Amino acid sequence: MSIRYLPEHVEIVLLTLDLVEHEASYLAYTHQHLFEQPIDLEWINQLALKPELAEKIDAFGARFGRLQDTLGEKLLPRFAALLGEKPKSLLDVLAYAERMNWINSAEDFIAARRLRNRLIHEYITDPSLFLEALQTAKQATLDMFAIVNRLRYEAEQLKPESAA
Amino acid sequence: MRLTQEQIHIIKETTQRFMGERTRVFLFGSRTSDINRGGDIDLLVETDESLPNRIQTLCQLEAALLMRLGDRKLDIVFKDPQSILSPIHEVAKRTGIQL
Repeated sequence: MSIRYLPEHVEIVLLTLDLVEHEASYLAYTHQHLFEQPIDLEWINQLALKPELAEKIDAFGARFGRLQDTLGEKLLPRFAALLGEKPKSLLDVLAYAERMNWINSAEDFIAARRLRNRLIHEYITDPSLFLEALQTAKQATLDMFAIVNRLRYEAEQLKPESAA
Repeated sequence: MRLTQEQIHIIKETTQRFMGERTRVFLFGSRTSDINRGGDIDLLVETDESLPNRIQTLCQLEAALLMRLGDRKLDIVFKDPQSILSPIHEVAKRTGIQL
């Protein structure tokens, strides 16, 4: 199946997709190394004493946030533009992406964005909540990778409008 | 308090849908004042129930509120029977107005 698109937008979409895949590979590296160790409350409580662990969480949080931003603020709007749509706000972009089946749920995408504020270890006042935030982000990362894969698949289906 | 009746209804209804019917919601921060303009919506959400994954539920609640209220600055402080209380809980409870 091919998708009709506006050819003048295709180059920027493919460049942004490359950037997203690059960011996803860095996040995958940190995700793998962070979660290969058993993370429990004891591990969380050691964070203040082990700056190298805290640094890993910082890297994970930063890469998690960066991929979300590039997906939500760059790639999805540019994919929409490719199809002649110009959603104004992030919520409009996500609603359109949900209709196009690029993401499963706009609400889940926003919920994952809200997770970022809860991944900042300096603000740990409740270790068990922080543990839940890390575990939730572990799964949310895999959900984002699925979105990246889906958008790569969509990009591969593109055919110029004249050829459609 | 600077929230419309519709916003109050949305906040209470959505919060109770995610956190249970007996969840209490308090507005605190700059929106409790009738004088200022704009500002973040700061909420304290207090429940007696034990939720299986509190952070996931909280993030889903925030997302549902943003979808219904529009993208705006919104912060939720959460309190359940397991919560370790911090000064912000105390400030929110002392200065907050129950919705």
